[in-house]
Amino acid sequence: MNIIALSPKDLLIASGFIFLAGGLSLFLELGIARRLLIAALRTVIQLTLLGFLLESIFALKSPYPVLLLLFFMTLMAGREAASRTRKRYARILLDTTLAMGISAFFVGAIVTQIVVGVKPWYHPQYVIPLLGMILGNALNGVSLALDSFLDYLLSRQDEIELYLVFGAEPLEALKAPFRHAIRRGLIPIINAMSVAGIVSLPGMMTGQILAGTPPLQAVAYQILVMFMLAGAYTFGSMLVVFLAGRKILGAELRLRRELLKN
Amino acid sequence: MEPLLEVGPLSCVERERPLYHGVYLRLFPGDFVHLKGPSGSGKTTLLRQIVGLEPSQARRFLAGKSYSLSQIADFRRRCLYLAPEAPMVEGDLARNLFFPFRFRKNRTKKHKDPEKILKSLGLNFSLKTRVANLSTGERKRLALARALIFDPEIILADEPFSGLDEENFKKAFKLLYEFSQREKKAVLCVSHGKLPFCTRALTLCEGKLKEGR
Repeated sequence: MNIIALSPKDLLIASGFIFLAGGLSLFLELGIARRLLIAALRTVIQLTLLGFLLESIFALKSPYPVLLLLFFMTLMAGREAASRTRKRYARILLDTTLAMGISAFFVGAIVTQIVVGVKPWYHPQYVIPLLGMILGNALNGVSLALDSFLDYLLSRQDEIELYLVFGAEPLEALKAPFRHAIRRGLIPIINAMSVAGIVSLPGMMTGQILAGTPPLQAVAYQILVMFMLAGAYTFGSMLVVFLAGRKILGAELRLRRELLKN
Repeated sequence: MEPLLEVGPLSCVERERPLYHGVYLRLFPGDFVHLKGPSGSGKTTLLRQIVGLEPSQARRFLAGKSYSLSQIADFRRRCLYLAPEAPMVEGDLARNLFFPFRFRKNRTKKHKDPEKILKSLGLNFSLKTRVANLSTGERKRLALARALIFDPEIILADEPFSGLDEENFKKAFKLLYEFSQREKKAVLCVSHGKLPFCTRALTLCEGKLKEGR
């Protein structure tokens, strides 16, 4: 394998694109030069920090820092998922974090321990990027599904209550919104799988090829990742709407509107 | 005589203003009760509290049997709330009339003859008609038909006749009244308009439920 290493000088040249875009923004009075610059700076700082962090975690060869980092990532993903929905309810954060955590760790455990067979089990070089991809994608599924679920509940309260007054149990009353929401949550991964390799070259595969992996091996990894993400999307969206539905109906089996807020 | 339905105490505070307090409702077999009260007195909320769509501290008894909050689904299938908006689910008449029988608890339940009930309400449609094509008045009657086909013990009807013309009002009223006169049945009917007759009248006003008009 021969990797062409990047030096700070190379990145400096690449930053010319940012300055070019910023200059154009000033010239055309787009008013986003400042935000562009800040975003670029954030990329540099956040990724550099992550780079140092990963280097030290790799060097420590201990499961604890790996688990700590994964835990932190899950918390952040749960927070992000909750903040992306247009409608909210009390303690939504708990449900999104639980949904993210359970689905990501379930799918992640199967992929790293059974499919890839990572040794030692916490091997950070595999576990962290794979879990990161799972979380990032499950986040999408979770927030989309939850958003359409809450939207359905609020816009069609009459229908849900109609089911309830005829003696429906929670799963019966919420069947339509569940289906609607989970379907919505799965659309991005179905689209991604459909166009993979034709319209888009998936980022992870591109990265592996750039790093010198033979294309077929990179493809194998990408297929694994796609399937794994489909799993994460499915579990994540299902789990989050079940948790949300349970909380919103409660033991009293009624639409607890007081919990819902825009 | 033992009441068929006994619910209370029901209290409601809206925008920090008490609407009603410590209300008990009893319905006896054969009751057809006309519930009246000025707009905003909380009639709809009262009915919704009875079936647990709104929170309350009430205890519920049906024919002497107590229903806890965890048995609320069982209570609802025996004491049915008919909402004033006559909500429908997407699809045809058949789906709207029979979806309750797909719920686990209702699977063994037998339904009444739909043809006969639809006909006596003047709804001469095929069961494949889509409800989206129905007028407001037709939906209103369809919601009543659904309740009668489901055949609970008690129907709490919230403005079931609003928006009906004279002829259809008579038909709908006759059917609902006849239901209440069958063995071990009762009806509570909220209506702003006059009703041809009722066994009792209750008025919700000034925070209390009073017998009479």
